[in-house]
Amino acid sequence: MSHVIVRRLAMAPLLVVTVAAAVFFTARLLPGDPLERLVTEDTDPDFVPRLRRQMGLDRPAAVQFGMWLRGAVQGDWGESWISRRPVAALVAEALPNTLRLTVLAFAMRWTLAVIIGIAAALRHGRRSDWGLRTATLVVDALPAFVLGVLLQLVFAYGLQWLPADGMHALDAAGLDGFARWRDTLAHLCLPVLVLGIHHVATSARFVRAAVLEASTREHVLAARARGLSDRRVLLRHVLRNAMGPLVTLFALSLPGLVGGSLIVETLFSWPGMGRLTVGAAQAHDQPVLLAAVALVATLVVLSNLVADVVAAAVDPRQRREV
Amino acid sequence: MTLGPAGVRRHARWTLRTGAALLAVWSVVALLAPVLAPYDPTALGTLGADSYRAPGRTHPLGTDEFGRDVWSRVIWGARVSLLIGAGVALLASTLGAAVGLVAGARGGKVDGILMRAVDLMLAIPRAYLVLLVVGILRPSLPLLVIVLSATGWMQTARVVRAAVREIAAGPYVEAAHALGLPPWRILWRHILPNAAAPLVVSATAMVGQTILVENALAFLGMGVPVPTPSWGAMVEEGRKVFPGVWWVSVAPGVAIACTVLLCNLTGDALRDLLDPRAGESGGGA
Repeated sequence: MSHVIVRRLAMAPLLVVTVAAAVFFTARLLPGDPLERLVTEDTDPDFVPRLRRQMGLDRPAAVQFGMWLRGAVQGDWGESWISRRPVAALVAEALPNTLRLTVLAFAMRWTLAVIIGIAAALRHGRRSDWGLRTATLVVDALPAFVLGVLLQLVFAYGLQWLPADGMHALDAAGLDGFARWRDTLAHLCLPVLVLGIHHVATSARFVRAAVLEASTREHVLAARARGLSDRRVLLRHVLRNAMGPLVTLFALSLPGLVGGSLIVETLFSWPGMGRLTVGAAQAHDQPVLLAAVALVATLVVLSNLVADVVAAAVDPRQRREV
Repeated sequence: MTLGPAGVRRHARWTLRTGAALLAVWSVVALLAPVLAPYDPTALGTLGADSYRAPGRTHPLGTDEFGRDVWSRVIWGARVSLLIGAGVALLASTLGAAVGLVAGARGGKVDGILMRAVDLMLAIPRAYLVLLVVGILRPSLPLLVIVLSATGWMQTARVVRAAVREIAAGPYVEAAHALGLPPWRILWRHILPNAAAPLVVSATAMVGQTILVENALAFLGMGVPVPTPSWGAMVEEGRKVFPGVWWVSVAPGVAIACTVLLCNLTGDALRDLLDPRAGESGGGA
């Protein structure tokens, strides 16, 4: 087992460079001059040529990639064309905010999925199967932005229980201790709900399948025959065996922690990686866009790797395919 | 306790018919939008007087900020979404099938390289990649179809490759080889038709997925350019006049959800019928 993992990890740097190259060349080889979009009537005529030299846009693409990669490794990701701030600083502000959101959503998703999945497996039959399947279909069809807009309509504008967007109230700086904490929590509620609820139904079906699979094994029948209580059979004999596939599933959904929040962050004005990327795309701010996409892609690839390693460690059957 | 195979098939057939019929009706409505829409979707009303009229007799779903009829915009928006959904499903499936066919049939080094490329592209989050491209180029309908196809073919390639490998090992393919048929003919006449079922299933599933992504992009202001009506953009426009004027956002939101739901229902049913081994959709004992 260990040599498979070592081999995987040894490949990681190569993988990261490949992903970075894929993103960089996608951006650079597109037709058109990226700088032309920035020119307005009152732009300093010297601005564009200076920027072009500064960015090395007059050099061959491969040389540009080398420069860009060397800079990125050293923590210099260039500077935003719009705000003129270093990209690294923008990312350093955005990434923790994204993680705060996604880690909570992840916890919510899997807690609900495990509860619903086990319940559905225990009552497995036509009605609960149908219910779960229908819920999956409906939730899958509902885009995050529609769900988010509806929740804003009901809880923020209608009932006025929760703030509609942002990360802090406008007067948050003046709050102290408990009040400040409560303010942050209130702002987290809706985005976490939208982000978390989205995959609950799908995840619950996987949990249900894993539990059902574990409960049809012979040792479970034997435990029942020995007269153990249902509760004991479930906890000691079924769930323990269902843990392997479940841990694999958790691990496989790790990449979502850095990726999937473009829409939710934009909708709720949450200052994270998603909104940074969307803002850069809207403003054609290429250095920020390039860095954000490359960083997210790299982190996703790395967490995929972690997931594979975890999966291989938990379930020997996975090792053959790794 | 669960439905038996026959019951699943009967249920799937019923769902497929209903889903496909409703989808067909919706497509016809979209196609006939120029005839069916009571108003021009881009015609501006008198600002102020016609802005934000509540749903009523003259405007079944009310009007938006510029006095444009929301119902007309919803059915014109269906044209855009269904066109992009179908176009991308067609293009991406063709591309994916080609890659999967070559990888599965050639095997060896070619297979290795192609499948590593698939892994790599699957690892990069699609939404970010699409945003990168439309953030640098100007979004337009053809560009969206191309970008969404270029980032959406990988799953199909995997499915087709798996099917091809399985089929290629079958005795009738061996027989065809033994008869001395040229490889391209075996591929085209004997392998591809047998891989059609998983291909059709994955293409159908792609339509709903694509519509979701397209509207998410439109919501972010990176979809088909204004003033072409697009549901995602309409939801975004309606957001600023919440909660008093709810219809501008809610109508297109419901349209997206219903359309995608129909696509997914049809796709699921098709999978149950054509690809029973993928089985019970969602796994389970």
